[in-house]
Amino acid sequence: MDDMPIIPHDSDTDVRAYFDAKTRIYLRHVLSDALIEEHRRNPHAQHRSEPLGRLLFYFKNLPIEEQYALRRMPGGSYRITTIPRPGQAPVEVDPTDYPDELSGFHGVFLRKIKDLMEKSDG
Amino acid sequence: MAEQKIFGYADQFTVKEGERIRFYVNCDGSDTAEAQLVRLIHGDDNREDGPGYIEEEIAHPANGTWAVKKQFTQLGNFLEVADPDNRLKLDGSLSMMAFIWPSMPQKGARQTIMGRWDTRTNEGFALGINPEGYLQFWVGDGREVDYVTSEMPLLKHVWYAVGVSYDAASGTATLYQEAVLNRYNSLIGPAVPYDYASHVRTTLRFAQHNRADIPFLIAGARDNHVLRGDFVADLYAGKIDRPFLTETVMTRAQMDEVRKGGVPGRQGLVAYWDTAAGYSEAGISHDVAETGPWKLHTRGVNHPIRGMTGWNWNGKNDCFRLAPEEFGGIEFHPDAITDCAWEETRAIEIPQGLKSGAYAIRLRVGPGSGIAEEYIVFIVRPAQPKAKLAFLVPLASYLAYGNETLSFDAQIVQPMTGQPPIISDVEIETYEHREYGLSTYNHFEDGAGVCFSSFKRPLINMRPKFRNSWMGVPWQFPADLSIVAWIEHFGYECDFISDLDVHREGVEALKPYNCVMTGTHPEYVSEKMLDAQEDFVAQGGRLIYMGGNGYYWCVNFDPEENAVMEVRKLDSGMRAWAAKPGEHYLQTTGEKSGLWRNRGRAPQKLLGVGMISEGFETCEPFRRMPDSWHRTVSWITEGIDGELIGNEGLAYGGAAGVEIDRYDLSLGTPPHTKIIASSGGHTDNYVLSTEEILYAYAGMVGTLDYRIRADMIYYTSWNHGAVFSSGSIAFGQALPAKGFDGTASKLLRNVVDAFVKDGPLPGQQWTLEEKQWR
Repeated sequence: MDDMPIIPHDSDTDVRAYFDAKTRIYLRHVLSDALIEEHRRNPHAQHRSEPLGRLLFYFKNLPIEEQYALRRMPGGSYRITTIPRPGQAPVEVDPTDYPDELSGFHGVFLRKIKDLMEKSDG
Repeated sequence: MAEQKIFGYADQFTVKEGERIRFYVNCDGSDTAEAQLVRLIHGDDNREDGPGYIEEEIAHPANGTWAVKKQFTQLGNFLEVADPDNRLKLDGSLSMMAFIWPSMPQKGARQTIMGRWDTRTNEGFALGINPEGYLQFWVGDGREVDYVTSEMPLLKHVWYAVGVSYDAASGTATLYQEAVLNRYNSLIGPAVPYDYASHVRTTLRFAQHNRADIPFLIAGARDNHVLRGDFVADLYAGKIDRPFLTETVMTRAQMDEVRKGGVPGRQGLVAYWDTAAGYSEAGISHDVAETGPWKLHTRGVNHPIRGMTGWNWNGKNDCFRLAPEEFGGIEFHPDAITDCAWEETRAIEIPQGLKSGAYAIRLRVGPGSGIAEEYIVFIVRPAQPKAKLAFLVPLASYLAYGNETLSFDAQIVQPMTGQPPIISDVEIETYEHREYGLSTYNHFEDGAGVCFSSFKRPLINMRPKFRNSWMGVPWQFPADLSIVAWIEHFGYECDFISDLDVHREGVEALKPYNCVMTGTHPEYVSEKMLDAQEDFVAQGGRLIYMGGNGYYWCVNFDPEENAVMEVRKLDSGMRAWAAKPGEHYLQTTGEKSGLWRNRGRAPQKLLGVGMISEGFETCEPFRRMPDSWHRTVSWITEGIDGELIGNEGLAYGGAAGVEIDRYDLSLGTPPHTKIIASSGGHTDNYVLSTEEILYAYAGMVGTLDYRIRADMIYYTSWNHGAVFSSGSIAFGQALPAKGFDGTASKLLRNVVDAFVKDGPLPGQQWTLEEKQWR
């Protein structure tokens, strides 16, 4: 059959793109300095507000290519990098040295907010 | 100068006084390394909340400078055929045929299904798949390659009958390609309107030239590198079922007969690998039966997976034991590795009198840290049991997680842990080069789950100081060293044994001891391990289960190669992958893998508790429960003020968490079990484990579901036996906190002090009636 692809396009990705775009509209709407401060105070806090909870859910579920890691540096600090991919070393995305894990987690959070705001598809 | 890095492994995990252990080292950037025998005491380098990293240097003649070199690793599965008389060196006409289920046909690199081919010199003949995913037969005369290629690309995860007939007299080569998919055996079903078949004929310009030293291989081809020498490349990904080779020119009708299930005729048959032969109730060997005229010995390299569903699997029989002829599939993965097979670097003898414990050969080159430092870990057992207390080291669980790369490959990890990974140089290095293999939490490049793991390769996370990147805290071996440090701190005499020892020796390995303590996360256990521990307790032994999510997966150590552990993940449970239908049984024993709970042996039956939740990210303390004040068990909490236990720890500051277990009478918790303490208030990152869920609904999370907690329990058995369970991975890592003087540490002292003594346990003087009181 001529119309049968060897490696099919996964149409599921189209549905996810639509879902994520709708989610981003909501998240941009609720994003505020207060919400960012809520996360900075304690990135692990259980009793977070619903907007922050939903924002973190969105961030945690991003594809690996859109995630970040903290790289442990020889001096004991942490820097934000991309997630390594097969055959590719991680790329440092921010020269900031974070003194501890929690401040690094917040740094990743801010980086993901930047990515969220720069998304052009909704 | 090249970057300096050093990695190694040993040929054994446990070794006794007076025995020898061999080390295998691969080094870049140096031809010498500084070696030092060390006893490992504490593995967490966190100095803020605990004692930091502790090792003791041990005097030994092997300490000093070792000659080391670059060593190469043969990755990938293939079948080696011993053909000393060159029976398969066919210089004239030939035919080859096999059933195949390619898993990465459009790999972008050539894959060899079978043949006698030298990639470097272009000599021989082979049937394979070209980089674009088309079936191909090629011959080489040592200068050029000529080939015939199918017109229709192969689809992944679809069964095909493929073959070639080659008439050397005329040079005619004819490819045979037909799908044999049925309603069950392939990814897609008969309703898909795809043109699978292709029959292409061409005249090749020259015939094959066969050098005598080229091996016949299935799923790979000979290659050579100036530094490395001969190795196997062009590795095939997917299943192969019943390949054969003839010295005749098979007709299409003859191949059609085979496609329909016929056996190739004996006339002209040179080799026939009956991949479904030789199966037994006790499993499948790594030797593949070659039932042609020469009975050529054929063996899998790096554990090709046996007993997989074959081309003719019809969905009714779910195990190779029921219908072996339907399970002739052997699955090959180009990135599998179960033995690096390096040249030995050094062997050392374990001195008589060396204290039983966790040891390593520490190797350093250049800067001596990060990837320039290696610890090759092993356990020293006493020649004869000496102590009343034994620490049971969970090797199977270390192997299950050995070299896991969840932070890099598993999208699910951040949703599970609730935090970004914290990665280290050694992980980045090994992930980039990927030569030391994967864990049973990984998928192969073709997407299949990894079911074998071995210690005959460097294991970067089975070493001290390593912090699990997706959690940011030590895990498995380095976490278990917190228990070791506690044993050391309080000066308990303790013998170290591994679960592999128990698997081999049964309850005899445990009998000498009054008390056996487990590691923090002994998740993977074999039937022999379970039987031995159950018998130990019933015969009067005392078991301290120091972990969470323990005795969960059914596994086996390969009887042909004890360094290798096998598991199949399936059906339910918190699992990294799911075995395909029909592939749920261990090839090394024939028994069903998956959760012990699904085989009638939930962890609760022996441990009193079993997996209920995982969440990582945060931990909580335990709170004493009413049972703990009962006169039969109040001794466990003696000296502890207040109701909280374990409000400290190196894993997120609490003794309850990471992965946690629950008391559940419906799953076999002994009815007289007492809950000493329970945790609660876990965050919503702690979710109910999947095997608990019949119908899913909102709210199965830490703050909303009372079941999500760690239960610390105690029950007594026959002959003064008993079991104490912490029910939490984090419990062991709570011990070193507060200078080993926290409440978790105090409680464990009460338990160990009582358990190592001969005779009745505390609380046993009460009458039967009182013991029943709750």
